[in-house]
Amino acid sequence: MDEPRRAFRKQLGEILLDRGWLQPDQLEQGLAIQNRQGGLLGQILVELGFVTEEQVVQAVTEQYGFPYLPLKQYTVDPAAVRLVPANVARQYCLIPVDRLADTLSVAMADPLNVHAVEDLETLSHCSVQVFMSTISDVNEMIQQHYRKPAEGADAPSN
Amino acid sequence: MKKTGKGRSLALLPRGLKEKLILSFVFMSVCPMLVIWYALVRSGFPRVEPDGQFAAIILLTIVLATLGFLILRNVILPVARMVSDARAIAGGEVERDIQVRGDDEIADLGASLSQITEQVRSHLTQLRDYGEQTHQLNLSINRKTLIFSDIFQISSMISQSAPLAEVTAFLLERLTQMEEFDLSILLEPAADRGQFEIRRVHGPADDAGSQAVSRGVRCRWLEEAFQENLPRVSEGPGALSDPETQILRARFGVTSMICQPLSVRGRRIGLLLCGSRKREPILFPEDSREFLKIFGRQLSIAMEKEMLSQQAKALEILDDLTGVYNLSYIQNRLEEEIQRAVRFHRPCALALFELADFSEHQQRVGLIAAEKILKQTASAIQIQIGEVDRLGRIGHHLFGVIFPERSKREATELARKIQEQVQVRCLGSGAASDHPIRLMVGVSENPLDGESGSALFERARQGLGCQPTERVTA
Repeated sequence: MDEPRRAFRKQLGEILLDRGWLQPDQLEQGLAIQNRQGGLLGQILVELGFVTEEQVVQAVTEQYGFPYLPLKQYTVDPAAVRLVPANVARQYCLIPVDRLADTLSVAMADPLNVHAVEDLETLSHCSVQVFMSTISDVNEMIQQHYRKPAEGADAPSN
Repeated sequence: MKKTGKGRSLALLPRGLKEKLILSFVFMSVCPMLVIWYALVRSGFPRVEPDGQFAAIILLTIVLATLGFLILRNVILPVARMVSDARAIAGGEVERDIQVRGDDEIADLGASLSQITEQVRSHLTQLRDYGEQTHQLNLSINRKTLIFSDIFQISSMISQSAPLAEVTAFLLERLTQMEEFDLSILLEPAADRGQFEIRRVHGPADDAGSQAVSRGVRCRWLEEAFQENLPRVSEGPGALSDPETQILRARFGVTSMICQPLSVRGRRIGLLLCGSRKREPILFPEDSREFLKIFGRQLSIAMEKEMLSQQAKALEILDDLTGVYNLSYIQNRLEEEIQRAVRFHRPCALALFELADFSEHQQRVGLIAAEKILKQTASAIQIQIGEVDRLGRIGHHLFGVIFPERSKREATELARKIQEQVQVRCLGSGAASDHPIRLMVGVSENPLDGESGSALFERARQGLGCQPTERVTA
């Protein structure tokens, strides 16, 4: 899968600064942590409490042009969930929401993860339509639609 | 011995040998000559004396001559007897006594010879005792020499890295060659405190201990020796008589026991138990205890070396033949990569490359040629993979490559390219050209095929043989 084309040339940090949601020293602090530990800048800034998940999602949406999907207001299709094992959903932090013909709609916390999209295509033999959502919303949906590993199965709960 | 007292002065015969010889000479020579001279004179003048007187003179002469002869015989016979005794003693009959009769010089000589003989006899007895002691000493030296030879041999085995089982078996066997020990046992502590497991036994074939190899041992006497790390002895008539020790003795059929703790750098690792099966309880000599200590130290060294060797082997990360990583490293690295992949929401792929029917090929071309192919294959795969990818030889003719941050699709494409290159460069030319070897590939990925390294190995192995969609062959 090709690298997603940016709809907007600005970096995520710049967008957050422009919108006044983040201070420059906070951005430097977040970048320092990213350089040291790796990971996603948006997630780091959220964990530091500098911005909210929604602010990061809106900025990424503006940056890359991925559509935002508010999962709490959407009904997930169990048939789509069954296409993706729980460990794959948890590892890539995604939730399949719908399947229409050969297209699988997926809400992801990190829509830039091309490997995740590749694996979804391999699993489902469908093309993947990526939506963006917050990490907490995705995790909540995963909790709702997959049984916990301690319960002994990866299969969807329904 | 010289006679003393009045009896000697009242004797008819003179005491001295010289006087005896003078008297016998007088009796045998001077008196007869005087008598003969007197007879000749009388025969020239027959009317001087009557004939009867002449006969009496002749008779007296004969008597005197006989007396002289007897005195001379009395001198000669003791000398001759003494000579005979002396010769017999000189010939080795030191127990023979020289008979002493009378109190003349010959008797003194006989007494002196008798004294000499007695001293010789005493010296011979001492010599015999010394000889016996020397014999015992030689036996002891020979025994110790043999034991030292065994110790050197065991040291040699340890230094040459002989297997621990071989060293243990030899050491236990040599212990039972010592006179005091009929049975030797290696005990190791079991998981259950106070319990010992019998690792190895050496003794007579019908020994009770040999039949107890599979069973454990529990005895406070052993536990105390183990905990205190000090040798313990149950020997002699005053041996420990508590029921546990009695049971232990009866179990191994021994009357006396000695145990030597084994330790490595202060850590207790086992016990060396030896026993005597002699009917009566014995006391173990000090040197036997010392030798048991030495044998115990040697066994401890051998066990420590084995442990270190296993630790070193566990720390090895490279395959001896090909120089790429080994199975242990690949397994550990794969688990780490999976953890990293989970943390950073990335995939991690594993590809297995197997040389098909390689065992039959090795039988055809021989070990050296087969190893050459393995080296070439490893080398060819190595140059195809990236810096962060890891290649390992994980089976005799099975290689594995970890592809961090590669999806299954990417890893499969890479594996296909590697397979083609290896097939062209190594397996389709040279020694293998007459019998081409196929390189099979199986690929798995985290998270698609599992969340653990073992799951990825299993799925990749299935890909090698079972699932055509994931299997790539030339």
